[in-house]
Parts: sequence; structure tokens; C-alpha cells
Amino acid sequence: MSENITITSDQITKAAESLKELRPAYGAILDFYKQIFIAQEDSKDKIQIDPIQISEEMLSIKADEEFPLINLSEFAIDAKASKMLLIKICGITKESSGDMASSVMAILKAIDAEEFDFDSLFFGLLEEDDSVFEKTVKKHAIKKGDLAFIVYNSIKPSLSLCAQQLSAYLDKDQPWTKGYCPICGSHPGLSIFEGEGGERFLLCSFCGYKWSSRRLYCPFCDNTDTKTLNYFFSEDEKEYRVDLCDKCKKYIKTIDSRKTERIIYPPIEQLATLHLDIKAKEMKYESGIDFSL
Amino acid sequence: MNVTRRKFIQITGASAAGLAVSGLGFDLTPIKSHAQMLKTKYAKETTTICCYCAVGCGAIVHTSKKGDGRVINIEGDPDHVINRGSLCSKGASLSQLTENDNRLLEPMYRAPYSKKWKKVSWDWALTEIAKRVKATRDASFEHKNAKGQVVNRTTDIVSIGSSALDNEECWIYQAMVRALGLVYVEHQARI
Repeated sequence: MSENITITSDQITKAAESLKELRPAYGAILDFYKQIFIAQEDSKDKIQIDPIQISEEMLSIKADEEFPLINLSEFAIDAKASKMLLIKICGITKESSGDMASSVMAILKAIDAEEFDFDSLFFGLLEEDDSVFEKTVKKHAIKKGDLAFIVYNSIKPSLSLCAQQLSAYLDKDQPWTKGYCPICGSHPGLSIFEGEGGERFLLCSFCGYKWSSRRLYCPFCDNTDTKTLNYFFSEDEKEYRVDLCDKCKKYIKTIDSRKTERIIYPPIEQLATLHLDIKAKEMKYESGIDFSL
Repeated sequence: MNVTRRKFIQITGASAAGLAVSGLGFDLTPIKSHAQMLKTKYAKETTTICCYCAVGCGAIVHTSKKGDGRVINIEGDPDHVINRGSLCSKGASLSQLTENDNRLLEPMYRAPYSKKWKKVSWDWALTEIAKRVKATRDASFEHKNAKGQVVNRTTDIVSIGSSALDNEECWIYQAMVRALGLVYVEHQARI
């Protein structure tokens, strides 16, 4: 199952607005990201990617070794749709985020001058090739973090759709029990309890793929000892909890969808729970994904 | 300056997780204040088996980690092969076995023909139960049946075991009632 469920712009707006009402501290962040998420969802309609073929033999090896289906560099992306989205994201960012304005202006200027190498950056990110980013950053005076943000968000719809296509290769009778994404091998960024029985799903922090997971275990170190697995929660925000592992000192945020009526759009929930990341970090736990606050 | 491969993943990691917030220049002060104001509780989860019937549904018990260690909630275990997270109405109320303001903490007695219950002491209740069981058992005890076969039984007392008893408790209990001569021995789990 993938995060890539059909969600409309209206639903994203509603999800963002209801969270803003609950937690006004997130107003500016949600206003900004809401536009990015809507642009990403809208762009999915235009995306055309060639299906990735994986041979039976390769599938069997990967399943036996518990390897993900592909490496990041093997993702198929629609460069044309990603280019259009990148320009749109630059427009949104220019209007909404003061700190990124100079980087965005520099990107737009480079695009106008036909000096912005979209394809190299898209594939450079997937190949974790820093040189292409270094070159662009130096040549056009762009902040590297800003460039990574814009490039990644431009290819994200392609990544989601590609992951969805690849999920057909996963063996439905053989549940994926590892703590990394069965599609691309990245760590989960979020956990969700769904359905009446509270089945746990993990969401890939890179491609957004959602896979069914064991309930009582740490996805980062495979710890199943309930004596060292705890969580914290607040009575004021009952739909959230933060799962903590005392063995590897990592945490993952969890949304219990049974405890709220509002639309759950994971990318927005991920953002609107930064205060829980702050709490967990205060307690000396680390996120399973690298980021700073 | 070239960043290392690891560092590069970190840079994209924040974007990837949708968490490139501070880098985008947003003021995190209100969010940090919100975090400070938030009162949190700690809990842990332990798996168990529902005690109410022979189906043996799996459940997860949430207990307070700091403080009194009391039960916060009990829910079905979604990983349990029998119930996949579902619980029946009795199982759904499992936490009330321990956390229930209406739970009786002292024995209550209603005398024959009385309309009222009254609190009694454990000593009185246990002595009274033993006395009445023995009186009924002695009065109704049959050494032999109509055919002259040795039966050593009483048919005037029936035992219906509580569903909250576990396997080991049930064994001791049934051994006691059979020693008294009871033959009508039933347990809720089989109903």
C-alpha cells in the first residue's frame, strides 16, 4: 500500500486548516507547505514514467536477502513534469519564504539563461552525487539546502508514483518485516495506526511508500523487547504518540488515525508535529531520519 | 567545501521528510513554546491474552511508565494471529478488570428475602460460605446411587467458574469442588 492515495486540493486545504485551528503556532509553515503539497498532488496527473522491469530471478534474490526492490538511483522520474513543478515551487517559495528568496531568484535567473541543468540535478540527487550540486551552488550563488529542498520536492510526485508501480512486485503473501522501505530501502519517517484493529504502517521518508509493520518493535534496530520500548503522548493531542527505543535511542512519531475524525494527510501531519520532535530531542532521543530543528 | 556522501544524505534527508523548516527561515519560536507547554505522559506496552474466553485473543496493555504504573488502556493486538486487533465487547472492557470506580472492593451480602445488600467483612463472608457449602454438601451427599454403585457426589451444588480465572486458577478450583463431590462443574470459557 502506498501513501499515494487520491487526495484533492480541497482535502489538503482542509487538513491544513483544521491543524492550523488546533495549533496556530504552525500557521505560517502550513500556509507555505500546503501550496507545495497541492502543487505536487496536481502534478501527478501529468506524470508519465516508464514502468521499471525487474526480472523474476532478481526478485527472488532480493526477497531472499531482504533487499529493497531498487536503489535510489534506479527511480524512474518524469523529468518534464518535474521541471514544470520545480518552476511552480520556485514561484510559491519566492512569495512565501523570505529566507529562500535569494536562492530562488538565482535559480529562476539560471533557468532563464538556460544554465540550470535540471536533469543533472534530478538524477544527481538520486545518485547522491554531490558534485553536480556543488557546481550549481557555486556558479549561481544558491544555498545548497535550498537547492536540495526545491529539487527533491520537484521529483517527489514521480518518486511516489514510481514506488506505487513497483509495489506490484512485492509478494503479498510474504509480509515485509524490515524497518526500511521495501521499495527503496530508506528509513520510515512516520508510523500510522489504521483500521479498527490499529494495524501499524510505516511511511518511507524518501518515496512515501506505506507498508504494513509489526506493532511492537523498533524499526531502526529491530528491538522487540517491550521493556525497552516506550512511548510518550499528551492528553491534549491523543491522536499522536512518539515511540521511543531505549536500545538505539531513536524515536518515531505515530498517528493513531482511530482517534481523530479529520483527514490524515501524512506530509502535513509530519510537519504539524514538530513540537513532538522537539520534545523527543530534549529527551536525548534521535530521529531515525537526519534533520535539525 | 565538498560535503561527504553522508552529509549530502542529511541535507536531502530533511527535505525528504518534509522537515526542512528551520533551513527555510521559518520562526520556530512559537512551536518551541508549544512544545514546552505540552504536558506529556510516558507509557509502555505489553502483550497479553484476554482472560474472558477460550478463543485466546491477543491484547496490548498500555501501562503508565512513570508514577503509579496503572493500566491506561487495553486494546486488541493487531499482530495477534487470532483476532488481528479486534476484541469483542467483553474483551474491549478488559481494562475495567483493574481500572473501574464501580468495582466492588468489599464483600456484599443480601440475606434471604431481603431487598438490600449490606457490606460484610471478608472473615464473615468466607466463614458463612464455607458453613453453607458444607451444610448443603453434607445434607445432599450420596455415597451410592440407586443401582448401588459408589458415586460419592452431590447434585445440589453447581459450580460456574468465573471467566476471569486463568488456567492454573481453574485447575486448583475444579480440584477443590470435585473433592467436595460436585459433578456439575462448568466454566464460562466453554459457554
